[in-house]
Amino acid sequence: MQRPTDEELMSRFCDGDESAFEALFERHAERVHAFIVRLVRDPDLASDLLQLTFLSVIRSRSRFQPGAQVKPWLYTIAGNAARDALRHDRRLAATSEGLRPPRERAVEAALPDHGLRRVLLDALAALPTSHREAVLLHKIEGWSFSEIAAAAGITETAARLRAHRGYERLRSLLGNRLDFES
Amino acid sequence: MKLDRLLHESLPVRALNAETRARVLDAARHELRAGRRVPRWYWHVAMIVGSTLGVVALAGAVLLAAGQTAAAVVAAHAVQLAFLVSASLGCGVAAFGPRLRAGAIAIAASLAAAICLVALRADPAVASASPGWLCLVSHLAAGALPLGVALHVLRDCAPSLTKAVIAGFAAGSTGAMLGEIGCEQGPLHIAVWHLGAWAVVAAAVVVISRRLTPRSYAP
Repeated sequence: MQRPTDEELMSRFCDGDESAFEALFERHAERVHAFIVRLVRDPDLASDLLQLTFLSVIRSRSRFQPGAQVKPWLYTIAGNAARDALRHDRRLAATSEGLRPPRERAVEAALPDHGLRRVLLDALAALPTSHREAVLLHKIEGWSFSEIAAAAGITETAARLRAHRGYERLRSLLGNRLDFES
Repeated sequence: MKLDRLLHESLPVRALNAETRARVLDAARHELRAGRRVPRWYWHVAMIVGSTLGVVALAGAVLLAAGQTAAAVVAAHAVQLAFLVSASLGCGVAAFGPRLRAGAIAIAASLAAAICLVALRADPAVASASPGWLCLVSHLAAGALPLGVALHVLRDCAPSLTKAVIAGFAAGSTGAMLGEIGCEQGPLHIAVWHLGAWAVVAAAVVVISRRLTPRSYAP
């Protein structure tokens, strides 16, 4: 039997089939979680945001446009949740500076201490969120620019530009370390 | 080392552990069991435009009953009211409809309606004795309910400055409509106090909505 597409599952879910939601969850939770971890660099926060992402799917299923693709919609929700969390985190950090360690160090602490890796993570964190999203979606998730454009609600050219600028910024932040450590 | 390879090797990809998976699924099932109504976008539009028109209708009826305005005055401002109702409806649809890119059109429509209010207002035959700020205060009071509705509805969407601005314009048009029903003062008064109140309500929606926790992060 042919596996139902995401769009068929979403359509069934919108019609009240809750098992279709669970099928979508099983299909995407892992990668969406990985995407969020890469954006916020905090596994605990990422787990909370994964929950918010799928709760948002439930709460906003009536706003899903029939005929639209599910995957970009889902990643847009995850990206929105991550951006909002980072914004609040920055606000908290600004008001309680020095009172607690930045959350984003949690991931690095769990990784082997490779200098270049740390520099890369710092460089990624220094990118504007929209550029970071575009780089991660294109380079890590393997999305096309048209998929990124659909998810971000921008033109394909703008998506290409964001990814390119992000990538070039990463290059300049890493400087000659890329060649040095090869 | 190539940057692409470094990206793939360096970024932490951790398997979603069973505990987190179970917790998220539990929360989702709980949400589904709660069976909360999931309003479609046009309900959001109906709520915001309905609250605006409802307040205007109620306040207009009170003004008519109290003899503070007359049907002839309302009729004389029919064009401006039509502009404002169209702008409010357009803003509601642009903010909560499926095509957010209509936002620029909605903002342009609101600005056009604002210009129209000032341009079509004649100088009063008799100068009003009441201070200008009275209009500002009454318009802000009238806009309080639509403002609350706009904030409530905005929580159902991912935070978006564009959405907030447009929803703010929709809510803020309440006072401007009331001004066309119950105020006979000149264009300068309209530009300063009526449009000022409109801008204050819109700004309040933007500022407050940024501080609210969304119920959903869907676009």
